[in-house]
Order: sequence, then structure tokens, then C-alpha cells
Amino acid sequence: MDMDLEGPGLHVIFGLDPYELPFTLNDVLVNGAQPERAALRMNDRLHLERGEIYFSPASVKVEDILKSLRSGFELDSFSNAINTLAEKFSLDYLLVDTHPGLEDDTLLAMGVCDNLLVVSRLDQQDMFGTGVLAEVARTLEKPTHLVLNMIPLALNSSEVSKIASKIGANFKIQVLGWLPFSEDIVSSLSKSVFILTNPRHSMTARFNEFARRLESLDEVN
Amino acid sequence: MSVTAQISTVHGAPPLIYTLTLSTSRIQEVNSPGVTMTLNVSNTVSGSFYGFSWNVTDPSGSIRSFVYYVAANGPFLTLAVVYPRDFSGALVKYNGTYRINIFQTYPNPTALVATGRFYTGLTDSLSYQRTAQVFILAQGYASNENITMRILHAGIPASGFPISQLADGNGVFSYLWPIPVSTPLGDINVSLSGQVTVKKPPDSQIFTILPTSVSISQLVANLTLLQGSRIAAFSFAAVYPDGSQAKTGTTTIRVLEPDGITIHLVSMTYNTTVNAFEGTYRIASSDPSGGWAAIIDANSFDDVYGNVGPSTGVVRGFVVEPAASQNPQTSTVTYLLLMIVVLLAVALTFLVSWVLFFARKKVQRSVLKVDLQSIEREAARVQNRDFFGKVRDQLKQRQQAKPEEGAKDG
Repeated sequence: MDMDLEGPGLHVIFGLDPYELPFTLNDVLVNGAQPERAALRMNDRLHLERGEIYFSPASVKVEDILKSLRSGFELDSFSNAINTLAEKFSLDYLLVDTHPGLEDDTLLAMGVCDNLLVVSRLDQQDMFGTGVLAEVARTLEKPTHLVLNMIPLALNSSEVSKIASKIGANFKIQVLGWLPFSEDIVSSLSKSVFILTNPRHSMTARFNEFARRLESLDEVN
Repeated sequence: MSVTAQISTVHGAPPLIYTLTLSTSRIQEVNSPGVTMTLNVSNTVSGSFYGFSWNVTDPSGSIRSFVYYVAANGPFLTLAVVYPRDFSGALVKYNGTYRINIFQTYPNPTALVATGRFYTGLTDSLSYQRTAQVFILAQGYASNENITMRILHAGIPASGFPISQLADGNGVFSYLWPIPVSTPLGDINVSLSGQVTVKKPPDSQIFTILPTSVSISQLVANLTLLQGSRIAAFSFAAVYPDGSQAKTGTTTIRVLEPDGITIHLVSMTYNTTVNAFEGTYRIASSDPSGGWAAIIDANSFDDVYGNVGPSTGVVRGFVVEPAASQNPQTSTVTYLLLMIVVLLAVALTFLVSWVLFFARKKVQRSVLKVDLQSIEREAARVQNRDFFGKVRDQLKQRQQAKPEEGAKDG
């Protein structure tokens, strides 16, 4: 679910023309459209033979973006939308991708989710934001997990592990792992789903490992 | 491509109808797969013999023939012949027009029943967008012969040309030219000349260069506080179809106030340090709070060479919160404070430069410091927002409702 209502971009990775989408998440949250109408089955487009994957896009139209910012959000309507999608499509997981700031839509997503996964770079600005987010999440009693992203290649594994455990201890959150900086991912320019176009890439193996860890979170919860 | 003709062969019998169809109208200088020429003949008499001669004249004037005799087993006859595969001694080694004449040689008298033509060129297309790759292919040169390739626009060589490259052991020359984004638009001539081989006609062809597109997938907006003013900083990356980034040109984005009507224009220029186009808008204290939007309009970006984009508008919304109240200060105090800040910044710059210079040969160790008190303050600010209160209250209500539901179910 592309919950970055202020600047949606996930449709780019999935190769969708945003102006051809019949319904978007904005229609669901602002105009009360049925949530399942804003969910696109992606199996054929991604050439997936097993499982099911659906994508709920956000609108790129300026009037929709301003409207959603103006009208605000209701936890109940968003929560109902999430539940409807989960039931309608028998979802195992629903991933809600928000934008990095702590705006109303982010708070809304935090309020609804079972687990909060924060992807952060190892720099002052990101760490500050992560700290604030962890603090806010604690108030909402949401378990927060951190993934350190784009770790400089000069740092070795043990150094990163030490830094990660310190951050986890300071922010009182679980560090799920870390990803090194990858020129290949940057060069892919979000033109496609990286793990599908690069199934044998070392980063793909890491993403798969993260997926397994996320599954284990589900078991813990 | 197809050509039809009608010829009466037997008095009183319906006339034979001939239709020639070609698999393609244009190929490169290469023998395989060649051009398949299919002749369909209608009104044939079952059991009768028919003879045809395919004559192909290449651009040098050389004629190659293929003769085909066949018995019809019904009212239709389909004959397929491939040039140059079926033509003894034939090669596709000249660019230009190849003319096809098909004669019916049996039953007599010999008559021209179908004609056609196809073209051979050096390039794999006749028009390209910049950043596309032109595949140039030619044959008929001596083994390992040194070939000079020229690419000219209005008589002026394209950047990096002419070049020299050897043909392979079979006398085949191939070259892949990625078209630079700044290549002049319009007709381009590509020509090849061998050190030994002289082709007549020479290998020379014209193709057309078209502008390419530039895509912008996302516009980033960040609100920062600089010397007491709120600054909205915008950035985006412009990408060509080959994945390379545009580094030239400018564009103006529209910044839309919450009323959806009031517009501010922000000029975006390329920043080589961050490899992105950047621009800023200073939000005045009198500017309204609420949901703003920054917009890159469709085709508003031009890389100065006439390559434009994005094909559809790109929008980024951002929220401007009400300006915090500031303590009134006299201009003198503000000026003094500013001077102190500037002096401190200069001193800090010298200090950092000195440390960096002398520490260069030592192990560099970056220190990541996070101010936990600032984090708590910022978190408290978020938690004091009305919307956060609403979310928290609704979550509490739900948690309270859950046990009740459980009790009812139980």
C-alpha cells in the first residue's frame, strides 16, 4: 500500500502508469470508495507464478493530494479499509509504505499497524527521525524494528553490529539487521522490482533473509 | 509489400492471378535471414506444370536468378524463395534498392508476372531517439580490412568521428553507436570506406536523429529551518531512457498554496555535488499553513538540447505548519547575533579543515551523535498534536472494546 499520499512513487517500481489507475487509496480514504477497488493484482505484471500480490496505489493528481491533505484522515476508515483488504484477499501480510516524516498519514499508519519497520540510514538526520519515531511508537505501544540501510562499504560487519546494538539500546528498539550500500540498487533507478530482475544478486539474498525475519516477527506476535 | 498481376494463359480459362509478398521491405547488409519472397498464384489447373524465374538486381547492377518449376495440385500455388539464400553467388553486400522481377517461363510465352523491391541499409533503423544505440552492419570487405567510419551532420563530423576499425575475418564490419544526448537533430549520414575494397555504390546511408525523453520519477520536498526562516527545499533526478542522468538544463516548478490557486515559481538548477536538480522556496511567516504541493508540469524540463520531460506531471505534497511565535528582538540585537553566528561558523570551518587536513593520514573515524533530549522534545511536539491525540484515543477505545467483545463472544 502506497501510503505516501504526499508524493507517491511505488507505482514507478511496478511499472504502472499512474494516470490509468481507476481507483487509488485517496478515493478510499477521502471519497469512501471500496478498498478492494483500489487494489491491483500484480501477479501477471510481475510474472509471478506462486502466491498472490496486490498493490494499492496512491493518486499522483495534484487535486487529490491537496484534497487528502485538506480533509485529514480518520483512523477508523483507514483501519476498516485495511481489514477489508485483508479479508477480501486473504492477505498474509499487508505492507504499508509511508513517507519519512511524522505527518498525519504516517501517524495513521502507525496507529493501525501491528509492527513498525523503520528503514534508516546511518546519518544524523535519519537517526534523529528514527529516535523521534521510536519514541512516538512507544506511546502508541507499537513494537518497532529498525533496519539500517545504505551502510558505507568501509564499515565491516562487526563494526556495524556494534553500532546497531548501540542504536537499538539507546532507542529501545529491536534492530532487525542492516543492508550495505549497493551501487547496483541505486543504478536500477527504481525501474523494476530489484529482486525479480536480479534474482541472483547478493542484495536479493539479503532481502530474502529480511523477509524470513519479518515472517518470524509474525510468529513471535 | 505485395504486388498483383493477372495473365490469361489458356483461351477460355480464368486468368492466373499473381500476388508477390515480401517478409520485409528493409534489411541490413547481412545474408541471413534475408528476404522471403512469396508468390501466390490463383486459378492454377491441378496437374499442370508452371515455371517461374526470380531475377533480383542488386544496387551494383548485378543480376542473380532462381528458377522454380512445380506442378499445381489445386487452384492455388504458393512459392516461397529467400534472397540471397536460394540465389547462386548472391550476397547482400551493397546498400540501396534491390529490384525483383518474376517471370513465368512455363507454359510459354515467358511473361513478367510480378515485381517488387526491398532496401538494404547500414543501420538497424531509419530513425533513432538520442541515447538509443545505432547498430551499423556491413559486409563485403576483405578479411581484417581497416575500415573508416564517418558520421556527419550537415557535413560536420559527430563528436569522436571518424573512427577506424577492422572488419572481422569474414569481411564483416559492425559498430554500436550510443547517440549522445547533445547530438544535433535531423538527418545524419553514416559512411564506410575500406582501405582496400572499393564498393560501388559506396556504403553510405542517411538516418534521422530525434529528441529523447527525460523521465522524473519523484520530486523530493524537505522543510528545513535556516536562520529562523522556513525553507522548502526541492530536488529531483532527471533520467534518460538509457538510465543516465541529465546534468544540464533548468526547469521551473510550481509551488501551490493550500488554497490550490496561489502559485510560487521555483527555479531548479543542477547541483553537481548531489547529482540532482535543486531549488528552494522561503516560506514567509505570513504564508498559510496546511497542505502545499510542488509540481513539475509535463514536458516542463528541457536539458538545453531539446530533450524534454516528464511525460506526465510529477507532484509532491508537503505540510506547512503554523509559524512558531518568535520573541521580538531589535534589529541591532539580531544583527549582532548574526555576526556572532557567522564568526563562529568561520572559526568552526577553520577548525574542521585543520583537523581534516592533519587527520587525513590517520584512520578516519566518524562519530554519530544523537541528542536524546532533542528527540524527546520533538516526540513531545508530535504527541501534542491534535491528530496524535485522536489516534491514541481511538486506539484506547478499541483496546477497551476488545475485552468487552471477547466477553460477549465467550
